Amino acid sequence: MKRNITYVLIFVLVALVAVFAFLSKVFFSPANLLNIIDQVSIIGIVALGMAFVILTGGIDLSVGSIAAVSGIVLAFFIGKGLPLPVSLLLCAVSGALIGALNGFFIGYGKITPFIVTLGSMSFARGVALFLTDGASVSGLPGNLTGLVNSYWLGIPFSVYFYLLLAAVCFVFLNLTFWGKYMTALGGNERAAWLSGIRVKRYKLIAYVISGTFAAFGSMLLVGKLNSAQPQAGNLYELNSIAAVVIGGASLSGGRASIINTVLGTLILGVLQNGFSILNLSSYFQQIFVGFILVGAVFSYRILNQQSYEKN
Amino acid sequence: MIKVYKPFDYKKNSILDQPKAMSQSLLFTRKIYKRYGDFTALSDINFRLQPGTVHTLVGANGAGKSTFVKLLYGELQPSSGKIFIGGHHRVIGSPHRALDYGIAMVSQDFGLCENLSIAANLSFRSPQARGKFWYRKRAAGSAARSMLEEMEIGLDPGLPVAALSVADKQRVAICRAMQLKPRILILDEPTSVLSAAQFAQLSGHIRRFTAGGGGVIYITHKMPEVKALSDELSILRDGEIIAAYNRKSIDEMDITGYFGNIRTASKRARQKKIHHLLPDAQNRVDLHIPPGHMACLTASGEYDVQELVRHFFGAGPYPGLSLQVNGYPPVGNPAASLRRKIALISDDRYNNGIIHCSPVGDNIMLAAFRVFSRFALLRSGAIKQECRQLLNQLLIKHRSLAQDIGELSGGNQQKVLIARSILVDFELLLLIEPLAGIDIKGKQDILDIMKALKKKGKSFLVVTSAPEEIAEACDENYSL
Repeated sequence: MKRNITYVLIFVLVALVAVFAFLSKVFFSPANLLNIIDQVSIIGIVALGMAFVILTGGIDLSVGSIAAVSGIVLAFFIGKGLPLPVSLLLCAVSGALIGALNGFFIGYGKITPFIVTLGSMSFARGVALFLTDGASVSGLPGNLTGLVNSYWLGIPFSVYFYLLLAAVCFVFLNLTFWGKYMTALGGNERAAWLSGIRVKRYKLIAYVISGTFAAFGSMLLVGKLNSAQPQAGNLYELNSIAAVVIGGASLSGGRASIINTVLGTLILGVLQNGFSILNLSSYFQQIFVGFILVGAVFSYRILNQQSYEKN
Repeated sequence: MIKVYKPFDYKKNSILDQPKAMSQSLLFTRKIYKRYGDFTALSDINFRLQPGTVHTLVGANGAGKSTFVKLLYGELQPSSGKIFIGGHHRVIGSPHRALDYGIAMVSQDFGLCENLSIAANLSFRSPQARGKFWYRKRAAGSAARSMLEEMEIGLDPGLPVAALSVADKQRVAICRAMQLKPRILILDEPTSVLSAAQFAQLSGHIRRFTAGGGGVIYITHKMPEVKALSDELSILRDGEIIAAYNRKSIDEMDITGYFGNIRTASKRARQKKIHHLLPDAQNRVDLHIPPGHMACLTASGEYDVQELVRHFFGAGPYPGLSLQVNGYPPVGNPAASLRRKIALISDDRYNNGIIHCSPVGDNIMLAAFRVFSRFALLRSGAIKQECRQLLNQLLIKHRSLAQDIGELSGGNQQKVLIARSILVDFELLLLIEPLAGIDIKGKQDILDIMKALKKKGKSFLVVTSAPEEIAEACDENYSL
């Protein structure tokens, strides 16, 4: 079933690229195709973390706010003159901490993920605004910006970074017992618990991953803009959820795939890029994304219908 | 001896084909099947309900009783077969339709909205409570009051349902169904939590209802109720009606607390002595199961043995009593139980056992992934080999390791769960209703697997309401 969805996604992606390539010569240049991946890398990284949360049957609305806070943390420490690796580490830790807070209340406190992350969405955004007094943090030394905007072998750094993280997630989800445990608890929490799996702990881990990946996203964002904004990361949560869901994940848990999440992200990126190259109104793009999202989920439901009809 | 007759044998004597018999029945079904993939939940159900009678359905958990009445109430649709109401072929597409056709049901979970008051719950479909656009609260309240009075339930209709005891919820649910003035009333275990006095009251209402020409389909596990109420009785097993009785033959049955104990019990099972357990002074029940033995535990009615065993495993509370097996007291969580090599296969595979949308191989490995990994990385070669070996040993019918677990039949899913327990290398396996909803061949396979494991020194504790089904593998019988 998972593989079927992968084929469907590849087909849709290729079809979209073909349509845009037919309509515009600029679109199909190698530079632009790389540009698409570059453009979606931030939201793509956030979506990777979101995939784990959705896999466990949860949702994380706070990723955008976490990206803002950890971006500010990063800018603050770089501005203080700390070495870049240390600043990056602290940035990741700040994301992981807020994620752990989410995971604690969801796993151990047994509060609905929607509520907890809605709360931390507001909380983290408030912290970001408070720390900066609503202003952006700029005037950073150029080391991060230099790295993020560099090209290796003609390919932007962000593409390497995104694909590397995707590969790590793929290994974690498919080749380690942690990934299997998360899949199991999303598929049937009670059965997983009865099989001796520490359900609360693995839920917490999922939110830590999500928070950390939001921080990874903010590293690219800060690097690209050479500044950190407290208003950054707006709508990241909805866009990343859309990418994961277009990738065939079920919001009731137990089903999410890294490859399909990447494909879902790319589909969104191709739409965005294609519409702007064709000079079409971004309003159309929003309308179209809405159709794609609901249409995708509807078609997965039809594909899945027989096997899960029971009761 | 109990006389068994088959009232609806179409091939030989198709009484229901006669137009008169058809129009005289309140409801009858012809060749109803319900399938889920490979699994057949109901097969060839020919059932009849006469006006003015109570038709009781009995059978073990998973036999298909609830599935059948859900078809009649429009909650589920039959895979094939026809339902006739008052002699007319009807498709019952939804509960709304069922109510239009005069069918009301009290389901096991009562179907009440806990957040609303009794009055609001009783006013669904009540014309008094319905203004042109708005809900007429006062009219609903007084209508509810008179309904409750009629049913002799002394509750304030303004109370929220969430504040009621389970027994009162059940009575309110029954009240609601009866006040809809149906022709056909379906009661799915309506007395599971009612006291004897409340049952007497209910049976009075049922008698009055049938005297008015209505028909009742009554599902129960309690033999005394069967005798007290039934005009007809059908026994379901594995989705088939295996026997049917009339009023006269019901009177001749001997009463044993649980219906599972008397039906077609084999001689061997009857000869076996049943030890009655009693809690000691510290409210403990002690059980000794030597290695290589299987003990069967049945409920005699006083205690919920399923919950007791779950509590022992660490999977739920059980106030006031605890089980001790081989000197082990209950533990706090399942992981701790598994560490002392005690595993559980719970009833209700769908909710407590299988991981949905997940491959067969992952379902087998679930509890053992950690063992089969090196530095957190899974040893996929070893995992595949181990899974293949188990799938072959336990004769699990499958296409591939990656096949979705949902596509397997109930028997094969159960075998997957046994494979999962084998991989945690259990010494004692707790099984709750292990053969429920499994076809005959699957049952035999599972018994053979358990016998083979017993030879290896593994011990078993089986909680079941049908002990005769596992009699050939069982060494000691207990009841509590």
